[in-house]
Amino acid sequence: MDQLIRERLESELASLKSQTNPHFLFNALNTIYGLSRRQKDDSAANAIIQLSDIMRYVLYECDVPFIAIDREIVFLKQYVAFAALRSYDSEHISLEISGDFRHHLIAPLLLIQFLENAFKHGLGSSSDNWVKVAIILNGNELNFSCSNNYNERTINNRKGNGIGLKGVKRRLELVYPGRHKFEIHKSDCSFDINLTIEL
Amino acid sequence: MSLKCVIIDDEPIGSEIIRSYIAEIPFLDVTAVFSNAEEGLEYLKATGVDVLFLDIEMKGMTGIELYRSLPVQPALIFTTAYPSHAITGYDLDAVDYLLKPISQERFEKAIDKLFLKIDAASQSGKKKSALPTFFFIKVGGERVKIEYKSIVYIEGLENYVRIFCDNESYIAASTMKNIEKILLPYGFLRIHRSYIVNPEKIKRIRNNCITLPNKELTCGKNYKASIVEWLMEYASI
Repeated sequence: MDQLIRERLESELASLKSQTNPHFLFNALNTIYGLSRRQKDDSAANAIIQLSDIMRYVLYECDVPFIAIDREIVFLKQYVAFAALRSYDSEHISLEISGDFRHHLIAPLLLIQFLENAFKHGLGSSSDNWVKVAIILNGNELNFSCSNNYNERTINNRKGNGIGLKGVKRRLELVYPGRHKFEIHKSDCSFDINLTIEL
Repeated sequence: MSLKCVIIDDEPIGSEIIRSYIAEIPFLDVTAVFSNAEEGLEYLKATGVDVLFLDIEMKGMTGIELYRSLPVQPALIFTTAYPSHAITGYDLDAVDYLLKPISQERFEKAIDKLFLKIDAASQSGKKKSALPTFFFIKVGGERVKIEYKSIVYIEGLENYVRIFCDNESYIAASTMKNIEKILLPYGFLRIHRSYIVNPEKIKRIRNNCITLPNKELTCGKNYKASIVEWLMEYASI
């Protein structure tokens, strides 16, 4: 079953990739980048560079089963920086990273799914939202935690919750069978994920 | 004396960005800008330049075709939205391969490489220096120094190589082909599709097994002949 889903996703991804011509997108971004520079708008120009880096990673570098974890972390930092640009609560986003990441590989775009989830639910229009992420590597044990503020009432009004996390749980079973521990804690005001993986 | 630069890009904003970056760098002068490959090629055939900033996908002729047809080849920096040509860029000995949109920071790195390359070219004309004793691998945002003599062996993975040194191992985003090119001048020995060893570290050879400190590797059958040939260089009593 998992295998089927995975194959279907992969073929979907392949067809999406062939439909949209990424070169067109990057050339277009280059044009917009040039236009922003003409206006001396550094923040727009920088945001375009950040977005391009993120897109390049996802489109071109992630078609491998495993990737150097420090490369993935560069990507996560870029993602968080970009999310902060888009947010009212940029000062309430924290990303803590510690450990020697030089010698390990990780399944690409795995941790990002928790971040996406946290940003989707944790950050919104009110001003007291927050997201806290920590990535700590001890030897070959990766400890990842991701917390965001949580409000039962607003969450229930949204559709599609939990489906993303179900998918990521499956992926963990496939890629790190018996080598990971995954926990979710919900309290009145926060939603916490803890994930430990033996890399 | 300044270096003469030419920009060829079929999009005006593409060349405008490069031009504005070059304007901020001393010793670089833009002498001409072209929006199509044919005109650029004519100019380059008639006029000597030092550095070429070249787009790849252009109407009529690609930048790669253009560069290959030049009788005298200036230093080359590709500026393109296509990552898929990077290998060709490497084959053409390009100084750098910049992916659009190109940040100023990234552009300046390319210029650093350009000056290093030009310095190296003028140095090698003067005297042939001894081989360096170390190299760097890029790991995240930093460069880690690796001494050739500390390397025990290299293992090729799908898109990476793992470099096993005396006390540590490192992963570098490179291919066996690339790393072999770097290590061969130092007498390293390819013994398998996935292994390159430092002969200094070999302790024993038996049949097709090579023993290294804390590790035993099997030789690939395609590499047996070259291993035997290598072994002939040394006395066996």
